[in-house]
Amino acid sequence: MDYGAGNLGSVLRALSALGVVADVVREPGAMAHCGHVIFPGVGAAGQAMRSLRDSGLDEALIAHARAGKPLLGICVGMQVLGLHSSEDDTPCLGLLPYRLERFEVDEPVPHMGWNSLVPNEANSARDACFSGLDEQPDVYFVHSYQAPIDPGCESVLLASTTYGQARFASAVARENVWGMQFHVEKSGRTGLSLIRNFLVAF
Amino acid sequence: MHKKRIIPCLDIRDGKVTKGIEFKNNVDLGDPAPLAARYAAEGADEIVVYDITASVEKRPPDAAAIERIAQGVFVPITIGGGITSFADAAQCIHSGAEKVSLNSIAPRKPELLTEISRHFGVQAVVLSVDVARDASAPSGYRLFTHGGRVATELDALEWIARALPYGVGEICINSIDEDGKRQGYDLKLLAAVRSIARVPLIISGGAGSVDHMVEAFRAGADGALTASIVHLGVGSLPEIKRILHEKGVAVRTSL
Repeated sequence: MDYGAGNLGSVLRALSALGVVADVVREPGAMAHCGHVIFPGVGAAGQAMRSLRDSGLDEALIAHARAGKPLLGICVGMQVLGLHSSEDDTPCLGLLPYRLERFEVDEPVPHMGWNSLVPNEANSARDACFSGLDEQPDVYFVHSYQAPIDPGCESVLLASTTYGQARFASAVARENVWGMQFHVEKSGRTGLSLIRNFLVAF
Repeated sequence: MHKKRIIPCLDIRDGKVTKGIEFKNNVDLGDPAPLAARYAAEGADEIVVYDITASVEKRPPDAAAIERIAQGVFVPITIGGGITSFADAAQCIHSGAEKVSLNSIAPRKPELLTEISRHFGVQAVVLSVDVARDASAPSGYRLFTHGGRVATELDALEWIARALPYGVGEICINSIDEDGKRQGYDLKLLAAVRSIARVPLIISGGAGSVDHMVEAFRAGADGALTASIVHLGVGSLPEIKRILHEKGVAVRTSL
């Protein structure tokens, strides 16, 4: 899905490397024909939500998810699947129960670079998502806002990551709706495997 | 845990990868796209591509070449050389780069740092500085531009301190004195920059062994740019990472 600000090219190149044929969806009507939808986002959550609302893609994403079809949000794409972001006080899509807060750590923000995922054994999607990967694989992050692991977030937590004093949700999943805070399309062979695992899980 | 980065750097001249000593005497190492893909597959945490003659020849980076490199590289890509406008930077990013590196243009047009970081995020902006020791500069280090060919009036440390508020996501420090000598990085320079900058620091110029990288990481570097250590077959990337891991440096070992 292209909402006009995503890291679309990198995601398409990653899909192409996996031998996957992808269509780019820019309008809500086209989403009804899609099987898996990948929603890559960059930039600010507020701007992303405005673009989604202006184009009607917000309703299309919600309808896609409610129909039980697989959806993967990447980076800001994962963030806006949640309830709310404190970035510009933005109400989000509400598909998953977490909130985004700015990092408050002694380390530099944005959190940028490679960091490890600690899979959450309690999440039923864990085996499907991490199949074939190292126990705590490293992936590539660039973000200033993060989902703290409160009880709501914990219920959909798929993997956590620690940066400075902050432990946050680096991947989430509930049934057909998955989210990854890191740039899965720029996370080397691990990232390509995670995309493939999402595609074959449904 | 947050990881230290090993970053192979491809210097491009006339479309081919080249490697010089003290920024001169270049040898041709071939097509950048397959080399970049190989390094990425072997565990490079990022790939940096510098068009080393673009700023001298006053032309923008080659978008088609960036696209070709991006086809086979699934780790972040930084492009430098010849970026003199917001449009040049946007072209690089739309062609597949995650970051742009500004060097010669930055002292003349620091507001470009602001323009790019406002639009693409501060993480997309790398300030690259070519630095040489110079007793007549207040800090003992002078800023050079144009691939180390042109000495500026600026003290290197004063320039870095002045550039940071414009919107810099990280700094790449290139030591002209140590480049290609394989005697180790300029750790004094690294410490001096660390004392004034909180952003990630990438050190470049002088690595001849993995121990040199260990020293730099312990001295506060977040990433090490490496050309000769990889090109000249001193060690492969997996070997370098294995040794760093054994010496207690947190590196990405999963591919």
